[in-house]
Amino acid sequence: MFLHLVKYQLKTFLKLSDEIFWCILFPYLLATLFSIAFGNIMDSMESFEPLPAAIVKEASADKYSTQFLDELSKSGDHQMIIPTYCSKEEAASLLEQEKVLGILTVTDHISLTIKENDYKQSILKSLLDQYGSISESIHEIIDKKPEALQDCIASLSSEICANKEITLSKHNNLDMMTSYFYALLAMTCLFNSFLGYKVTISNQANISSLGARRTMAPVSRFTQVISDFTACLIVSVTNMCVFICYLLFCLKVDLSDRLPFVFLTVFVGCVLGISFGIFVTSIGKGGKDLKISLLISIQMIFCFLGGLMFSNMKDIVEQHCPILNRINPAALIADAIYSLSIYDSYDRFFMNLSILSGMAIVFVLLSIFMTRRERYAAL
Amino acid sequence: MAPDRYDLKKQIGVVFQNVAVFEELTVYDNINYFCGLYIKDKKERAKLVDEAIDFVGLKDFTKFVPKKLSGGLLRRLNIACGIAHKPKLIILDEPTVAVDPQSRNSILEGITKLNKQGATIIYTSHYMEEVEQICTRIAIMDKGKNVALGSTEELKRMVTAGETITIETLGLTNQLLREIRQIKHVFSATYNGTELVVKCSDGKHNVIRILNYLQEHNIGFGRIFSELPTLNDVFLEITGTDLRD
Amino acid sequence: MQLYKAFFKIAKRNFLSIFIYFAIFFMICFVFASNGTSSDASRFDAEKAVLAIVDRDQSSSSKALAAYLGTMQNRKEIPSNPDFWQDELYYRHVDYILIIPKGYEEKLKKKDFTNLTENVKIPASLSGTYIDQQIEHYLRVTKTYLVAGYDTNEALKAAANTSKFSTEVTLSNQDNNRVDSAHLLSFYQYYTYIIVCITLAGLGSILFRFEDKNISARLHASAMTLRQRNLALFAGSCTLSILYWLALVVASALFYRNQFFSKIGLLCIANSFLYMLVCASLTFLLSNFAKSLTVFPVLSNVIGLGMSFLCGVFVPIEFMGKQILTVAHLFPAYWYMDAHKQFTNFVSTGTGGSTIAIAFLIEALFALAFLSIGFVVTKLKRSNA
Repeated sequence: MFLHLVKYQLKTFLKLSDEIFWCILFPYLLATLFSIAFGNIMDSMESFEPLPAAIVKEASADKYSTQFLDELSKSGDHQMIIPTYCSKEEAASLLEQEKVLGILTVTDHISLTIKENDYKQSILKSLLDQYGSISESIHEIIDKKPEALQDCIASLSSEICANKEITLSKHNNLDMMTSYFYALLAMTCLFNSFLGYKVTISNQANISSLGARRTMAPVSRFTQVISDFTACLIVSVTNMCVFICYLLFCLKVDLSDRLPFVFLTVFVGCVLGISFGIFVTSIGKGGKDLKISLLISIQMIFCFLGGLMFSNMKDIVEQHCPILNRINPAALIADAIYSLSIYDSYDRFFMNLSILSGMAIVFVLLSIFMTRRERYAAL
Repeated sequence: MAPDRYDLKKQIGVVFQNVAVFEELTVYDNINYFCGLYIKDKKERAKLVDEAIDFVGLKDFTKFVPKKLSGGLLRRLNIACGIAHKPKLIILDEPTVAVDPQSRNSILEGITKLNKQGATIIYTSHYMEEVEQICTRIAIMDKGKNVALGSTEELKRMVTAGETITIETLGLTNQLLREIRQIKHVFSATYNGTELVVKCSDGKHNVIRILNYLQEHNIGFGRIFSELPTLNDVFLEITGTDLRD
Repeated sequence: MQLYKAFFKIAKRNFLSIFIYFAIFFMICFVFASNGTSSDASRFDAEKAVLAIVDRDQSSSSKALAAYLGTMQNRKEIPSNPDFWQDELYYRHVDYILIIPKGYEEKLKKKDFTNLTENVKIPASLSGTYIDQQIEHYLRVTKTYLVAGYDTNEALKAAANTSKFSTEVTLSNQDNNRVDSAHLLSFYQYYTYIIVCITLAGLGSILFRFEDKNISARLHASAMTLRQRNLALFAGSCTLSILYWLALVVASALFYRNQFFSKIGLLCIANSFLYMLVCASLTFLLSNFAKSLTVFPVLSNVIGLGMSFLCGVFVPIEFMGKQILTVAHLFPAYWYMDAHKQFTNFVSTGTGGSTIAIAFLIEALFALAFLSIGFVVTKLKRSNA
């Protein structure tokens, strides 16, 4: 009987209804969009690239200043600026069109003209400040310790490997944009609640005649709910596996190298999503429309607070109301996968997974409890 | 009956007024699914499903999905899903609503056959002629209460109107009409200038008595119709003609 | 008029579902808007990264380095447990963690500058390079003074004094009149996402009821022409959308009172009104194609989120690839954002007016286009019925 019910429920899923179609297709669309949109966003937003600057040499241009700027412009790993040597007017035009970040005017010193207050302009200024301060230092040494001048100049020109970069763990994925993909995975898990919704609607005698016919059958509610749940789980897990493969192999998203744990998280997420859908659809006496509105609205809140639309959202919630992150399934799923990408230890991962599993069990039990003993005085 | 009386549920088949099938499954799959809720054995079930398909005449449509079926075929599918497991008690809730005459005829014949095969049928309908055609015992319900119960004949005897006789005639005067009303078993007589309509209570030879009277008074007559009361008349007389909610 | 009234009767019956969507999406919009950041464009202020320093040496030399960096960047305290550092970096609470290991001062005195300090940062990042430069400069100057024969304290003092030097900076378009409208602009930025979702989910589900086969047939058989039917439904759609729009505008006026009653506020209202019309028309068009009622809430998120990510609502569009920009032009949200980004410049310096005008025009054209296509589709559906 159980297998018979599962088999036919799976067959019904083969003919995708509109809602199921969009719920399956949407994550792929969004993932592709993320990948195209965020493809080089880290490079554009955060990565250091040499800074385009216009250089205007006045008649009184100091040779040391010129040399300094030439050094900064030398191509290679240490290139700091991309120079455009031009006149004052041309430089002003370039700045207005935002083709350069600033104008370096070389006289007996270097002055800077910029259009807006921003990071890159601050870096430009910082470079010039360093040059200016070194010049002052050289003058001081010439005054007070002229005999050490050669050594000092040699010291200033040499490389010092004083500041060593280290990493905190083997897994060190600090690309903030991956948090969108974690949140998207969480959303996809929660979207499985639509499967739960669909099977529950077809089980409720007061909502559909199909539900009435199934209620009349000599099959216990428990068996029906479990078989429907199993069918939903098979479909959702299959879809999630395909989706993860799509993320990994087509979009080349880094989801951590501990993939079995990622799949485990997603599996628990699917169970939670489906049981949540069954639970929400079973409560109350509203019609189909109200129930699906409720389902979508609640999920959107979860996903929003889990960081789907704004990558820092989970962190903001953690600072102001951390309890929300402990009960929001989207945040828990995203955080579990995040912890696999960042930390070597599994502590945080297992904490999230335990809460998720607990929630999944609670919703499964609640779903069974709510649908088992339904009675209808009249239909 | 408690909801967990599965032993009883196994014996019951229900055909709902609204078509209750899976839109995504084919005709065969739908019948197989619902039969499978009652019959576990695969071989037996396959046999029953094929029989159900033959019974409702859907052999050429087994691979169709419900969306592709006409109203009549859909109703037949609905019935097949309810009776495939050969229940002892079948409840049919208005199974012939919005169905073409051929399909309706086929459905009614099928139900009669099921009854002859040993199933008890509870059939609800607003079509009195169907009820009259196939039902052996009829309960008339009004406002949630059972107001009359019996066979067709028993119910017809409950009403005043036994026979309605319509005679084509000319030149009937008011005086003669009054005298006709006095004839035995006549409780109403009307004349519109061409037709005399006489309603008689239960009695024999009403036609002969009225024709004899006309002959005695040299009133010529043409066509003669005699109708016994229908179940519709019975229903309206018992429940009244006010509109229901 | 009958159809228009029927529209609102149905809306009234479905008030609860519509209200749920509205309340939830409004809350989301409001939270987004609260994260808007403001900036002062009247003078140059060096941008500072956020730096955390873990001083394990606790010597005068290490404190001198920390003090120097504290004047150049924003310092933040972080938990001493390295387990928390990953989160701090990932969420950009800090851009850079400098670790001064034990033995720093000793090595400095011995003039051993190899691996004097350690750092954890966002790899190859702007902020990382910025701070690296400053640390390297400090240590290089310190080394130079030590090589020149100065003692450690004098060398450190000299290195610290280098922070006092400041290059002369001129701002080419100094604006003393710039008004801070960050929160209001943020609200109207995320409005793009919200209005699409609310309109598609709420309005779409009402319009769909008129697409029901039997209702449609009844209207077809009536004395009402197709034009009258479409106009009545569009009027109903517009009225309901205007109510949504008004609710959002009033809310923004209440929450951001100081910023709302300004030129920027006016421009935001105009832009949002046009965009609302686009959403209403789009919903009118899509209602012709939906096959079931429950597809609208799902569709609202597909289109809402998709368009928002593509057109720079959630992530700045200037950071996306060229191909994305090309594709984004096809969506009305792109033009909304295009105008939106120009408001501050337009009010403070008068530039960008033509961009705004063009964007407004294109939004209006989108609304007209969706509406026209919607009318054509209903006509085709009727003739094929």
